[in-house]
Amino acid sequence: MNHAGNHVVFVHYTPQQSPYVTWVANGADIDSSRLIWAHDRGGENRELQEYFKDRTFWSLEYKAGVVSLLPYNAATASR
Amino acid sequence: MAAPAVLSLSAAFFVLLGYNHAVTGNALKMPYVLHLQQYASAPPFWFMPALQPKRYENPGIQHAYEDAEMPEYKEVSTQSPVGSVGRNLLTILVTIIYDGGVFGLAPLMFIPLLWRDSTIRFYTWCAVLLTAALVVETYMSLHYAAPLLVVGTLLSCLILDRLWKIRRTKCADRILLACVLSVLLLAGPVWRAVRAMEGLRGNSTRTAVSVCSVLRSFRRS
Repeated sequence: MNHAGNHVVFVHYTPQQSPYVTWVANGADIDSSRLIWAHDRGGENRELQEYFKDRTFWSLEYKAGVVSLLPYNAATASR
Repeated sequence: MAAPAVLSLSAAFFVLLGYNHAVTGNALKMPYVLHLQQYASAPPFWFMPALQPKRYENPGIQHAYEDAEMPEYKEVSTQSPVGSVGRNLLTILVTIIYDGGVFGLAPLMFIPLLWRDSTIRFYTWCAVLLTAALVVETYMSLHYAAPLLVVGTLLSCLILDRLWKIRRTKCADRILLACVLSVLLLAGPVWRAVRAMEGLRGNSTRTAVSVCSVLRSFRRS
């Protein structure tokens, strides 16, 4: 599967993950990046959704050693 | 020798100032220092008092500082200075055995014999300085010893070079000795690489495959 267009991925970390391994790293010009990585900050995610209205939002989860990408659902955000 | 060193060090210094300014907004404040101010609960050196408690919003970061670094600091701060130095020295020694091969250090025994050599003296003092910086670390991650390993290896090679000149060995003997030493130096890293490859066959493979799959899905078609 290949996702066309522009995206924002909210990365949700669990305490079991190493804090030294991070997915969130963006280029200097974030606004014009095709793919933006962001920390999943629960309710505060809405601010990014409002700012990047034309983008598709995703949630990156790490469970039992497997990283999976899911369509972002604000109702199930971390907090 | 001095001019290239001054030139390269000056260039590195100005690049560092620019980098600091770009990341922290202050050319004289390193990103590591800003990070410590924002997140660290334990001080960077064991002889310093504990830092102000921080409020964490990310459970992973909180876990790293409160459950990993702080207990380490509490443990080391209850020891005597000699005990703390000894603890870090032991970590350095284990790192060298693990990463560099302890046999690579054997030539260091000849430092007293070659003390008149100014290059040997210079690198020995560099190694002493790096070791002194490492023994006061609160949380001594193994990779902190990397510069010391480089200086130690360089020193070992220089000592062997000087010893060869003293002994005037045959070319074939030198090649043989270089091969034996290379095997001894590489034994540790190769063993670690094999262990790492074994680990990759388990959970790590699943993780790596899933990471590649996610990244590939965003690749431009």
